[in-house]
Amino acid sequence: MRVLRLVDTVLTLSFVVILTGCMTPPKPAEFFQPVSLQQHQIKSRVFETSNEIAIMRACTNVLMDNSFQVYEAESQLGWISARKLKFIPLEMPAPASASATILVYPASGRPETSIVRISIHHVADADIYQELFARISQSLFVKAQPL
Amino acid sequence: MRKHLRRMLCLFALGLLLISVGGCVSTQERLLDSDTSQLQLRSFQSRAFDTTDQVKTLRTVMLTLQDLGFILTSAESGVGSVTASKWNRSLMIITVSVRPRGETQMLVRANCQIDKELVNDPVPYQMFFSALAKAMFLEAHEVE
Amino acid sequence: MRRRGLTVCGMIGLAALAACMPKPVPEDLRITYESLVSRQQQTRIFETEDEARVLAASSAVLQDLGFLIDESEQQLGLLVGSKMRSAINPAEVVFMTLLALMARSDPVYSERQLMRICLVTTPSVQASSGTSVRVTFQRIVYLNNGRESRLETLGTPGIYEEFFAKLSKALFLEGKEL
Repeated sequence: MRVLRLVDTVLTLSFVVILTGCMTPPKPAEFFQPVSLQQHQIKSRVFETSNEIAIMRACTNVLMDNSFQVYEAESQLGWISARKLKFIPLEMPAPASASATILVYPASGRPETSIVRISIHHVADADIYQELFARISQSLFVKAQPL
Repeated sequence: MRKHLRRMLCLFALGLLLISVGGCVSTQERLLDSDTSQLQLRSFQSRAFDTTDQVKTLRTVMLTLQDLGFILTSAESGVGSVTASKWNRSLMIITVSVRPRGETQMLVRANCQIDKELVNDPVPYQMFFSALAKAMFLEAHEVE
Repeated sequence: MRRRGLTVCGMIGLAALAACMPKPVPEDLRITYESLVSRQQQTRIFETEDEARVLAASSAVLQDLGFLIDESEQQLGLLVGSKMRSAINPAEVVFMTLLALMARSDPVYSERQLMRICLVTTPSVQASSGTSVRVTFQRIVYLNNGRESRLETLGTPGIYEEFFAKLSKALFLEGKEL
């Protein structure tokens, strides 16, 4: 009797699964909410130079100084993508892994000026970004200014 | 006992019938998305912008995706495409391509998936193009 | 004693010969008649020298098919895309659940599949002016327990025909077979 009830339950559950399909995923629109302006400002700096290649080289060096490995880069698009598997805890806290993206682009309406945006996955601490920009600035001999 | 068994077997047979009538989507259909209306999909996944600068448009797309919290995973200016992902309880991956359209416009096309489903709801695409249009300081024209 | 010495020398000689003989190529790496037939099925030539245009149209078709672009490289004429889709077969789920019930274990069935496409354009050597497009499809099927169940090439004539029909439409050109 118990076995029959169990089989009954299994069959009913199977039909429910088949008829209703998979669980509904989150609404797609939820993925398109913009990040806060504050985060924007923490992660971006203005450099008074239009030499994007030099900026990208400086960024690459700073990433490598922090044990990131560059995976992809395209100078035409001003894009660098890097990853690291383990933080070496010097000045920074230690999550298990991190990916970083850097975008370099001309500042609109300001000649001879570029904007650098660094984005490290799961890292929102302003001090960390400040440190990175300070090193890029040092390497370029160009001051990093806030947006 | 017999009645109960008979009832279960009938339900099971009915279930199998439903499965066979409902049908399974073939591998070919899943591979080539044969079950979706591609013309309709293409129309809400695409917008045209009045610019001929492909690289600048691509760069703006990349910035917009970042503004929306996506992580850029691949980008290439030759073919003109960018792919990015975002985790929000599920994983969304989006590809945006930028190609010349006629002599005076760029066609921007986005397609995305959440986990194992194609996103065929026009609303998220509208939100993306609205953010992109703002960043480009240009109007996003709908295309057929 | 002499016989033993001769036998040893003979064996050393044979071993040396064997080392010099070309080693047989493993089956997987051998170009067979079947792989030539596959290449024919996977390739079409389009009457245009504008490789960039063919690649752009191919990229558009990939997006039409719901693929996300993983890699692209115009100089090499390369496009790699993938998409995740359900691999759930309701009959398989029910059957495996019943089996699991009898064996008092957790049911295991195909849950999702990663479908991949690899497309390469090349200036055609066959035609004096033309661009050839070669496409291959693969999938990795994952079980509901997260493990890979199978990795296979997908390639029925129907799949290639449908794909190239779409590419022809996008290009307004007909694709000719090799």
